[in-house]
Amino acid sequence: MSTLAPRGLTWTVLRVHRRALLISGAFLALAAVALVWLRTEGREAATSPTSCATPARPGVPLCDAAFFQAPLSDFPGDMSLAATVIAWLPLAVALYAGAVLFGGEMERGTARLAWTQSITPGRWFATKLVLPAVVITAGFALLSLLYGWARGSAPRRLSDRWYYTDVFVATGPAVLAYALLALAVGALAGLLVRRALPAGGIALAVTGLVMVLCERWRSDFWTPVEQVWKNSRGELGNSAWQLDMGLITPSGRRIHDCLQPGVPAPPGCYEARSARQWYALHHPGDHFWPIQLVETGIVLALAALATVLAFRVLRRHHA
Amino acid sequence: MTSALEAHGLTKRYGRRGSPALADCAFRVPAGRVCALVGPNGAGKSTLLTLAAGLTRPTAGTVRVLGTDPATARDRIAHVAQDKPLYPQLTVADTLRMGAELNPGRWDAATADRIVAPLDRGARVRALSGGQRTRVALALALGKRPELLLLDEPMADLDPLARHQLMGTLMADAAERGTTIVMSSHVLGELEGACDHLLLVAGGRVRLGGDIDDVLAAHTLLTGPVGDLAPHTVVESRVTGRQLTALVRHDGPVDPTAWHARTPTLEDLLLAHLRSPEAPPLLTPSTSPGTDGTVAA
Amino acid sequence: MVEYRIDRRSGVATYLQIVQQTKQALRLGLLEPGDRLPTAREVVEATAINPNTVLKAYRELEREGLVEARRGLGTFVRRTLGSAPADSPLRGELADWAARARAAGLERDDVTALLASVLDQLYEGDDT
Repeated sequence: MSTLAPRGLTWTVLRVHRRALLISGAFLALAAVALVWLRTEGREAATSPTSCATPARPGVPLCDAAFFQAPLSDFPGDMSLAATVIAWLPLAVALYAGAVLFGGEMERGTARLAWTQSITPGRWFATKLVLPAVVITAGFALLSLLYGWARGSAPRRLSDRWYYTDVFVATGPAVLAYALLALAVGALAGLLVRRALPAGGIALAVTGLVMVLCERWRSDFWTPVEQVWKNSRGELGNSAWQLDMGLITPSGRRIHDCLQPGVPAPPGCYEARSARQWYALHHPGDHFWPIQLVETGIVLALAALATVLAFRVLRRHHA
Repeated sequence: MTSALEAHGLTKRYGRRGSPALADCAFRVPAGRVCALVGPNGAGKSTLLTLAAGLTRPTAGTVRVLGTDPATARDRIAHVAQDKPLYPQLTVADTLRMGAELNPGRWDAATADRIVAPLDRGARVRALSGGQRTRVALALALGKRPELLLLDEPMADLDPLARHQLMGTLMADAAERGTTIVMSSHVLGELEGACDHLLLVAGGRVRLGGDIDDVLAAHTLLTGPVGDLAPHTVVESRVTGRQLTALVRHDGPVDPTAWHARTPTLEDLLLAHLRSPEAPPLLTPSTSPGTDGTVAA
Repeated sequence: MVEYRIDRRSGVATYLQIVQQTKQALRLGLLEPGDRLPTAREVVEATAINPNTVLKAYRELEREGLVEARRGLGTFVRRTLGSAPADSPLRGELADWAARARAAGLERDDVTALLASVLDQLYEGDDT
């Protein structure tokens, strides 16, 4: 037997959860193949002509029936789907961690089976956290990197904007943090309610709630930039995440509602008629990393908190 | 004589309200004994065993195992829970491999193999009957070569033949290695003959404890005319017409002219105590814990 | 080698059953001096009784001088009991007598009762 072969508790945890390992391995392989294929699809979409001319010019085809009837690339839709699957995959982790890894073991009493061997509950718990965490980190890192790689194959106009929540989560370390949070919350829920299905449900709900709340407050994780135009309204670049836009009155007040068509103008708009300045509050494309890191930090801190709480629950109830 | 198991003021309460599962229990089980832990369903037997196995913490009081606390003695204790938890997706062979992996330096593969010998080692645990699962659970427990074996209703799922055989295996282990065994049951017949020590638990309290012979010898079953039973301690008395039947703890000799006296059977004793919750508890000297909380030498 | 059969319902203490069955085996010549008694482990594995019960029985036999324990080796028979081995002339005579009793129409219980009453009369006042 190889000296690298897993021993002891590691062997046990891997053996007990072998099927989940095989299934997630198969899923990862399939997803990797799909993302590699998406990249080739993206390159094809990038090289296919997007405009036509009459008469045809070099590199620009003739505007004939063939041009207009050519099928549109599936790349944008496929990339959206990939982003959605990757970004919400932590919910599957939450369900598994709560229902199987911890809740199920408590409900069936198999956790106690391990504790009555020569294994302390603390060591059991740590191993059951660390091993899945390693698998989760490796798997989600691979998915996220492949997704970014596939996304980079085609011009930005062919895929969703960076700040769409699915894309934002899937392209950075945030997705990894969410998956680790899901694991920790699953562990805490499993130890607290000691029942498989309720624990899975609670972990799913809590992880989902954190994801939704972060989506809601994400633009506040980093100070946005204000662009001001004088005399004429300008436009932000394609990569900008526009949060607010409006007029600046001579007294310096910012009013954004006047621009909405079909809505009665609120007070102040009269004054704003004389305004000659426009503003746009936004996150430029290079805010991607600061926001990612802040969000990742918050989620990891929550994961750490859940882990500490879970250890305390374990120590309080079990020797 | 050293204690395998010793409790002082041991109390366990689940949740904040309700009556405790165990209330202020104090007793000891000397090392090398095979102790029957008997009592009605819900008496606190399982709670006592999980506390001794270090699986839960007491609400109050202490439990000491093999001269130390249960967590420290973890690798020298084996515990088989009532529902015999096992991983259903593992095969019998994998389950035993798990025992070897989780008990490095202690695992006795030959003993474990002997216990599961009648089973197909490639069979998954989920496909096994209740009795077969008990076999696997006992193989895990005995394979660990424990010094203290805590068994919660071990024989409940077994047919009479397997029960006899596995009880024989347990007794052989006790004979060979001096293992202390504490096993619970609400069916006395399962344990009689195999056990030499008794703990009767009812309503969360220890009602009787001690060497079975000593406990039996401390009691007398009297029949005779209705009359004063003093100075004996009456556990239970019943009057049928002019005849009195009473189980007493005799204080001095029993008057043979007034009463027909005989030694009760274990069953007489247990039933009488269960029917009379107000009877004072009895712990024979070997079962009374040291007053200072240390292990009596 | 003897094999003990424990009857839980007999009302006789388990250790006494082992003592009696050992003595019976000695009387019948099934055990002879130098023979080893089964170890406590062997007995309890087959009978599922408490090991201390076996040890108590063996101590009783030792106290009566019938067996001796040799450390690390086991418990050995020191002397035999009575003078009625399985193939002795006395047993033959008893067998003849029993056959006659049966021919005379006595039931098994009648024979046992008759034998017991004679033994009671004959051994009155003796110990055991």
